[in-house]
Parts: sequence; structure tokens; C-alpha cells
Amino acid sequence: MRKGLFFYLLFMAMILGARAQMKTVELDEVMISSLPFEKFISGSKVEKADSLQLAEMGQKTLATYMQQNTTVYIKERGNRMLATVSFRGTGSSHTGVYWHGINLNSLTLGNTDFNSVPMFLFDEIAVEYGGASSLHGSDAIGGSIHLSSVPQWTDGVKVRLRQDFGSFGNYFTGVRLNTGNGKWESKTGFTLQKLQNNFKYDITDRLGDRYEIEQKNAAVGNYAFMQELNRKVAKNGYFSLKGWFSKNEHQIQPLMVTTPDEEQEGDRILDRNLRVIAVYEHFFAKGQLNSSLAYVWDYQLFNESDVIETKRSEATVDYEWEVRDNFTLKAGGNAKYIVPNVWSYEEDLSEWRGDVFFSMRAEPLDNWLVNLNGRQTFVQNIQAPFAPSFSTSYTIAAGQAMLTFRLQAERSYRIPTFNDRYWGELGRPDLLPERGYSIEAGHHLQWRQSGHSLDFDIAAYYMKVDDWIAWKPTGNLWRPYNLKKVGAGGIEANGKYKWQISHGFIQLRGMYAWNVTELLKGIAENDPAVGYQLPYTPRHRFGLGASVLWKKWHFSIDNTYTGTRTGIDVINEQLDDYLLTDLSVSHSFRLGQQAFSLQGQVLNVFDIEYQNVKRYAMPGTNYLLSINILIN
Amino acid sequence: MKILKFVVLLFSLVGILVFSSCDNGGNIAPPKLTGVIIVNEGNFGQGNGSISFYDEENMAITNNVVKGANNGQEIGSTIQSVTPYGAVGYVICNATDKIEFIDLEDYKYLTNPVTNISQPRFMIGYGDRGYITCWGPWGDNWDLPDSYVAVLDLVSNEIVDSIECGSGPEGIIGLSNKIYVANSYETTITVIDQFTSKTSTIQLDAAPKHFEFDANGQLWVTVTSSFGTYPPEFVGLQSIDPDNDTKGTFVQIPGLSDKGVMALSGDGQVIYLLTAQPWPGTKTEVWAFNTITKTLEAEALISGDNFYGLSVNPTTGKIYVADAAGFQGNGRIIVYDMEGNQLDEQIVGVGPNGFLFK
Repeated sequence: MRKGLFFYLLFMAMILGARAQMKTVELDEVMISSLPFEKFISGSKVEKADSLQLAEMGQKTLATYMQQNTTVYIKERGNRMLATVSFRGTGSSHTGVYWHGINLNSLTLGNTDFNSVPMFLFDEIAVEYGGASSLHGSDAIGGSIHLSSVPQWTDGVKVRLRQDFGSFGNYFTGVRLNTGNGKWESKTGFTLQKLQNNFKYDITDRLGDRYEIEQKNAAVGNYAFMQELNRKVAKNGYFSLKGWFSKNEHQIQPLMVTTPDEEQEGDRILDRNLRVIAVYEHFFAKGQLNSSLAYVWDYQLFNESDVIETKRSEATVDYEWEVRDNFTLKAGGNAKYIVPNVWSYEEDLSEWRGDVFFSMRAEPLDNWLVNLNGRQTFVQNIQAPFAPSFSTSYTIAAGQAMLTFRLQAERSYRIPTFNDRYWGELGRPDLLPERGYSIEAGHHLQWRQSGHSLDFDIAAYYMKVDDWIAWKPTGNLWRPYNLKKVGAGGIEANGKYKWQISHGFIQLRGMYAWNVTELLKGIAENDPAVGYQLPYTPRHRFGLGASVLWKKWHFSIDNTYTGTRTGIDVINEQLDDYLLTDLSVSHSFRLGQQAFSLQGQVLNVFDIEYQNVKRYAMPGTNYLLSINILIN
Repeated sequence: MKILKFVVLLFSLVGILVFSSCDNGGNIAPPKLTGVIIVNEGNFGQGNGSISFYDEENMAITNNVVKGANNGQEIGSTIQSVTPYGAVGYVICNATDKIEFIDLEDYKYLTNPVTNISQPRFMIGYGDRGYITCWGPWGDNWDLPDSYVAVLDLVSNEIVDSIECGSGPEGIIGLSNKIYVANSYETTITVIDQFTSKTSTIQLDAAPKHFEFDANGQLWVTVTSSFGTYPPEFVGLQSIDPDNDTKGTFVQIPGLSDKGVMALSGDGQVIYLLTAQPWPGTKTEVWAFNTITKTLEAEALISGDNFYGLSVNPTTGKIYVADAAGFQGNGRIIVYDMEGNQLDEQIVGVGPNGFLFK
């Protein structure tokens, strides 16, 4: 491994050395939009997909996107199966996943299946590192992810079609249709993903005979529909109505067999989600009013028998006031009404929640930004902690380079799930919210010269999560308790170098994360796992990628490495590390008014046998053929 | 040309990275031949059940002995129990359902597992037959309408017969030509005639789980509340006279674990029982019951967190307690003397649930 890295560095140096001889051309600036809360988190690390990445999302899910483009670890229980996140070593419910401020995490289970979110539908994705409950509320302890679609004020008709065919019965259709006249706009999105998932894997039975097994009972059938209506109102306002319905159904991939005649039983899980939000934003000379009303319906059916359902309504209003050129204040509130429907809960259970929050941005010096944010959540029967954050950055510009130093500290929290609080006689309404404390520092280097651009970011953090909830048996019954305490620390580095060549560019990408997450307090005094790295938390992840855009061709290669992890048995069970390599070639051309592109992808090029979660087979080399059509 | 070179370089870089990635598989030395086998159940549906070995004399633990003895080939299921019979360990697994055959000397697999079985739980060996309680497939309302006792031919290692029993059969024990099966999803015991496979039923007041024969040849069965279904006054130890299958003494055991875990001392005079303090207490306890005087000791013998399994070494009399740590991670085993003084503790796999002594 070390040898490989050494060669890579050498290679990087060669490339860097060679750049001087290259012809210099102005950079094609890639569009990156900004998020409404971004001005209040000057000290935090945010990564966004650029417009090029967004255009090539295709059939990627939030899970595959995160795996390939960030150092965040995704725990995936089989290919395109339930995928949960471990952000900076935290648990699956310690990351907020937001669509226009609506938390997608299930109120009953606490997490989001990252494979149920099709990236094709969104115009923006931002990954915000570190705790941010002060800005987003419950769950944002390890990090938060923001998905959104933005008004584009289309004038005319714009259509994007995507069709994929791939190995193991992989079929994807994506449609985006925008129409409008510049004042109003309708945006429609549709995705359909089918995957038979009947890939093969090898086993050796007890007698030493080898067999090739075909994965059974792991089929996926998902579709999603998104509709958005945007209307400019008066001179300075706009109204937007967005709806997103999805139906995700998949069999639950069984564990790998140990003999060929072992039966692979197939459970299945069906999710239906409806999210609707109406947004009105109004801009004043020195201020901005944001308001929204939302409705969310989450429905899950396991094996056609057990229903888990929640309905929630949400209203948010806030006002941002530019007091002076270098001083902005924002304050607002949010109210939620939640009605769950789960067989084990008391009938007529419902709950009110409310938030008040404020943010402050000051610019004491030209290149010095300071933010203070705070939020107080009110939940029935729960004393939620106040969540403050302090965030600051300082920028030095020298010639073509710009160096920004960041510092941030915050307290974050997670409200226990409905299951934790209301599950029959076992749930405990008296549970405390989990609390996270974190501090981080980092810097970002930007260097621009005609034809070249370099971005390098490094962050170091330390965080504690306390009162972490775990279910444990007491008497004969299992009940949730605020038991565990976890400490996590690490370093994350990302770099991107882009070099303009004649008829295109070359881009090199690198990312690395080192994370140590230790169980400080376990389920009981003598819990053997205390002092060990948490299960399914790799210490190392890195990615190396390169793209070449040349004339009408786009080549790219991505390598992602995931270090060793342990299973739930943190002492005896180790999962091997793996490095996956994906290749993509696409060619674009025009036929009349229409732009076409054909893309071929080879995934897991070296046919690496690996497991992300122990005993779930993952596919070897597989192929994907896509066609993209843009109609303007 | 430069671009081509660049692409070639990239590919060679990938090659270096891939082929220098090393394998981390380790080898575990085979353990000594006498001592204690520990069954680590593993998390349900995760296939991480494992077997550990404890050398009582040298107080040393070896985890993952089956995986270690078979080139890293693990059992790959949840393990309910292991039944030693002759030189063979019958590993009863569910999710995925199977019975593995391991050599109790060197832990090597003897053959491929039997897989045509549904939710097997516990087994006894009897002559050249093995009798395995099986829950059968789940019904529509998480009930168990198709439970049975599977009959395993111990020569051919094939399932040769199945005998109907009550719902949710758990513990199983045999005496002369009779086999007793505890139907834990109801309140009955099925008695099977080994030769004719004819069955009769003993009616109880709560859910039976496990059996032991005491020094006087009386059969004792733990009867449990089944998660609060049956009232506490029916929860405890029921004796049965095996001559005529009639009920004898009943002793209420407050907080008896729903798993109905019990262990018999080597001389058959003491039954140790696993109990749990009533909510909001969180401790688990071990109580001793004297089968001669038919009385429970006045105080708990041992107290601790998350006890899940219990056994007694019949030769040394040492008491073994399994602490499953709520299945959140690794469990522990704790060894006590007969007075309840702790002698040793060791870290094992996930969810230790039982012990065998060889």
C-alpha cells in the first residue's frame, strides 16, 4: 500500500513539474451555487457537487455518490441494499439528511436509506462536515447533507433524458423536463431503477469444493417522481411548490451461503415517501424573508405485514436582516406536528415540536468572518439542550493564491426516535437527547493561474457524543437507555487540480480521511468493547481520481479505498480493506438541436472480491451503458 | 500523445495500488483438547455466531476456534446451541438455518451442513438418532403454527423424519424411550415415544423452556412468563414424575429469565437459575435451588449486568456465566466457584449463550 502511495506522489510531482510547459488557457469555471445558510458557517467544511458532476449523476444514489466522492463511510448491507452513513465515526442517525430543510431521517427509526435517494433529481448537493444542530436541528451531529432543486427560470422547454442498461438486470430511466417563460417555471423529474442483482460470487464448501453462487432474492425496484412549480411574485419575491414522491421496494439481500444448497430466504421491504413543500421568499433592500409549509408522509411495509408510518406537518419562517454592510442577523422559528402510526405505539399518539433559532454574521475585518448561531428545540416531554455554534474564518490572499483558515465549535443533539420513546411498554419517554460536542479547525488553499487551478483543503476535528442510546435487556425485556459515550477524532484532506489543455482539461482529485472513534463508555461498566474503535468505522479511506476532457471525449477513473473495519465483534472479527476502481468513457455529439452523449462505465474493474458489511456479497466487475439526451 | 501517456500512467498507478494491497488473514493456533466450549450466538441475522474455547486449568481463552481450524471458513449463522454427542459437535444454527458437524477434537468440519431444516433450536442425541426441536416457518402473525421435531440420522447425517409437537419447541431431553419437548409458544410439553413416535401432552400454566433430571430422577422444567403473557405466580420450576408424567412440586422463581436458563450441578442436587431484577432494576442474577429440600436459597448467589447464559462444570463444580453485553459488541464469560466468588473473566465473541464441558 505504502509503495503505491509513494509512486502516486512521485507521479503527482511529475505532473506538477510538467505543467509549466503546457499551453495556458482560461479555465472553464464550473458552476457551484450557494446554500441559504452558508454565510453563517464560515468555519465549517462544505463540499458541493459541481455542475459537471451533477450532469453525470445518472443512476447514482446518495450512497454511491457519497462512497465515490467523499471520505464519508457508507455501510451498505449488500449491493444497493439498505445503506446508512457513518459520518466522522458517528452512528447512522447522527447525520441529518435535508431536502429544502426537511429532515429525511425516519422519525421512527432515526436514519435514511442512502440508496433510496436518486441523485438524478437534484440540482444541488452539499455535504457539510461536523455538528450543525444550531442551524438544522436534531441529528446533525456528525454531519449533514443538503439536497435541493433550485429555480432556474427556464424560458422555453428543456428536456434531459437518461437511459442506462447494465449488468445484473440493471435498468434506469431518468427524465427531467423544465418548461417556463422566465417568470414561471415547471420542473418535472422522474426516475425508474430496476436491478435484478443476480450477480455471482464464489464459495468453498466444508469439503473444500468450490462453487459459483448466483445471488438470489436481492432485486430492487425503485421509482421517484418530482414536480416543482416556481413563480416570480412582484419584483422581489418568488413562490415555489415542490413535491417528491418515491416508492422504493427491494428484497433484502440474504447473507452469503456456505454451501450451494443453503436456502436464501427473501424478505422484502417497501417504502413510500411523499414530501411536499411550499416556499415563499421575499427580498427587501436590507433583508430577506423565507417561509415554508411542508407535509411529509413516510410509510414502510416489511414483508407485507408490519406497517411503520408517520405523517408530519411543518411550518418555518425566518427573516434575515442586513443591519450593516458587515453585520447580518437572522432569526426564525419552526413548528412541527407529527402523527405516527405503528402497531406497537399507543393509539392517538401525536407530538408537537417547535424550534427557535438565530444566526449572526459579522465581518470585523475585510477578510475575517465571525458567526454565532443558536437553536432551542422544544419537544413534548423532552428537555432538549440549547445548541450553539461559533464559526470563524480568516483569509489571506497572496498573488494567485488564497488561504482561508477556519475554526468552529458547536454543541449538537439528537432527539430520540419515536421507537425509542413510544415502543409499547418498552419505549422510554424519559430518555435524554443524545448530545454531541465538537471542535474543528482547517484551512483551504485556492490557487489560480491562467490554465491551472488547485484546491486543497485539510480539516482536523475532535468530537464527543454522549448519552448515546442503546437498547439493552433489563429483566426479560429490552429497553433503550442513554448509555454510551464515544470520542472521535481525525483528519480529512481533499485536493483537486485542474489543468486546461487545448480542447479540454485534465483534472486530478484526491481525498483522504483518518478517523479514530473510540468507545469511551459502553453498555455496562465492564463492556469489553470500551477502548476499541467502533464497529464498521474504517480508520482510513481515500480516493484518487482523474478525468480528461478532450474534444468530445470524457475519460475518468476513480479509485476508492476503504480500510479495514471490524464487525460487531470488535476484537476478533476484521473485514479486509478494499480498493475499487471505476472507469468511465463518454462521447458527446449533436444531432440537429439535440445534444447526445453516450457513456460506458466499467465498475470494479479489477474484479475485487470485497464485503462492505460482513457476509453480504458484492458484485465483481460490471458494466453500464448509458445514453443522455438534452433537448433545448 | 501526452494525454495517452497520462492515461497509461494512471492505469499503471492503479495496478500498483491494487496489487500491493495485502491480505490480513491470521491463523489461530488449535486449542487444547479439554476444557470448555463457549457458544457465541451472534446477532440475529448477521451470521456472526462463533465458538470459543476456554482452558479452565490455565485460564486461557481462544476465540473463533472453528474459523481458525478451517482456513478462515466461519460458521456464518446465528448459533442457537451446540450438542456434543460422541466425538461430534452438532452446531444448531438459524438465520441461515442449518446444522453443522464439527469434530470436537480439532474443530474441523466433518461434512457439509444439513440445510433442509427450519429454525432449529436444540438437540439431543439418542442412539443413532438426533432429535432437534424446530420452530418451523413463521406464521402470518409472528406465530409458529408448523413446529416440529426433526429426526437426524447420525450415521448418514440426513434428516429422516419429523414429528409434530406443540408451538415453539425449545428444550428437549430424553429418558429411556421417552423424549420430552418444551413447547414455549404455548403451555405444554410434548412427550414422544422414541420407538412409535406417538405423542402425548402435559399441560402447564406458563411457557416451558428447558429441562434437567435431578439426583432423584425427577424431571424439572423452567416455566416462564413469555414476555409477560403469563402471571408471575406461574413462573418458576415445575417438577414432573417421569414414571407417569404427572406434575409434582411447583416452585415460583421471581424474575426467572424468559429464556428459562438453568444449570444442574454435577451431583444433581442444585439447579442454578438465571433471573432478572424487576424493572427499573437492571441487574441479572444467579440463584441456587436445592432439589433435595426443594427450596430456593435466601439470596442471589451472583449478580451482574446482562447475564444471558449459565452452566456448571460437572467435574470441577465451577459456575460459568455468559454476559452477552446486550449484543452490542463482544460478550464476556465469568467463572465463579460454588460460593459465587469470581475466579476469572474472559472476553469472547458476540452474545455468548451457553457452555459445553469436555
